[in-house]
Amino acid sequence: MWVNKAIFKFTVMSACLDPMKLMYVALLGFVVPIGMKLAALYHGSADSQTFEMLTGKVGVSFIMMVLCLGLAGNSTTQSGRGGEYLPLLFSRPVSRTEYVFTKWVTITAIGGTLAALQNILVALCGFAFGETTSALGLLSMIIERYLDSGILAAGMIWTMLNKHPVFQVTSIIAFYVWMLGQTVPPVSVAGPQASGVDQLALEATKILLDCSGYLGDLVLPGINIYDLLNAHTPSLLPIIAYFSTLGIYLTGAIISTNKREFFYGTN
Amino acid sequence: MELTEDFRLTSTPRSLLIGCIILLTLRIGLSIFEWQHPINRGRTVAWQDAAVSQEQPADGKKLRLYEFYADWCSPCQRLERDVMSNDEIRDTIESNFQAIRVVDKQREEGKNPKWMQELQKKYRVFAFPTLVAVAPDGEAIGSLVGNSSSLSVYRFLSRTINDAAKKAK
Repeated sequence: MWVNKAIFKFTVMSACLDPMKLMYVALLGFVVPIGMKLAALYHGSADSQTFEMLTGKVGVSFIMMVLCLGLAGNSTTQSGRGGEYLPLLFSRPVSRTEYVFTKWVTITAIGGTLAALQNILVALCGFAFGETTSALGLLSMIIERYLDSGILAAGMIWTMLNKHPVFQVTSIIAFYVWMLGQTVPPVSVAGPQASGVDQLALEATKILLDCSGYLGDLVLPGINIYDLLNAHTPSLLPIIAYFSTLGIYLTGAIISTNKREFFYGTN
Repeated sequence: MELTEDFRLTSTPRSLLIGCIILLTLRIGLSIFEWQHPINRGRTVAWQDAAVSQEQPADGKKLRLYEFYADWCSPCQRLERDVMSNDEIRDTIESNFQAIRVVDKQREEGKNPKWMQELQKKYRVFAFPTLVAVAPDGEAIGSLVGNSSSLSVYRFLSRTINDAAKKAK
């Protein structure tokens, strides 16, 4: 309904024709996590925290950052990559809703497909070493990666299309606080109770983790499909939280784009 | 005519706005409801007490899965709440392993019993939660440190079961 086929095609083409984007995605999305997985399998060790990050929402966010920067069209008035849809805007009227929605659908589809493919390859590597993932698990991973891509793409598109500096700075800080929380391993160190500076450092880390957790639930809620499908009593809250946040981001992006004045400077 | 066209191109769809308001209201309402009435997550893994299992002879055929745990450790509580209540994980553990929980008491009591210290030393436990899969002969097959996702725990369990089967052959 709100998807413009021409913008979709141009965005996909732009993603496929940029060698730098392709190299970044190949390295961070595939070479590093698959290498880590193979190393863990060869040495018989369990998956590391970094591996979990790169194959989960954090890995998707790395891919989405580069995709959104190059494809969301934050540099609408510039020529070159990111401005390929300009002839479209000149030749026929395109609604701002159509534009934002098409960009979101395209970026989600590209990012979700890449992340899901990475998860499938990792599962296949494990399979070769006797590590199985149930069909339900595999299906859950694929759906989760598309959901992660959807919410991250919507948030990043809104941040890029809304040019208000306070909004952009706040969004970027929130994103990095969330990411910082993801990098701390979820463990408690064994041993006697720490004291002095050590205790202070531990308490500060706990506060940071709590802040990051609450912020994550608020701005980047996720749905753990695997746990949801295997739950005694499934909770509807994560689903409602996800779609309400997604709706706010998309509506926000459309309102921000509607308010903007575009001046198509030409030679 | 031009104004109408411009308005159509730069207006926000009403359906999207209404949808957002409904979802946001539902989210707030459901958050309050679930906060006051926590959902029943069902049964988690039936862990055996390590102190009791030390005195009993080990089940010769089954693998053992030790969970090194501490009551004060919040990642341990999250693992128990989110992962161990997952039906597929719980069934895999209960049908393939003798599940034993080792609850650390160093912080509460100042010192752990000697057998627990030796167990922690043997399986190199330095953080909680740690899952250690052990073959019937007492040799560790694999360990997983930290509150991992359910899928990671499932992959870890499947690999240890497979490695143990290979070893038995």
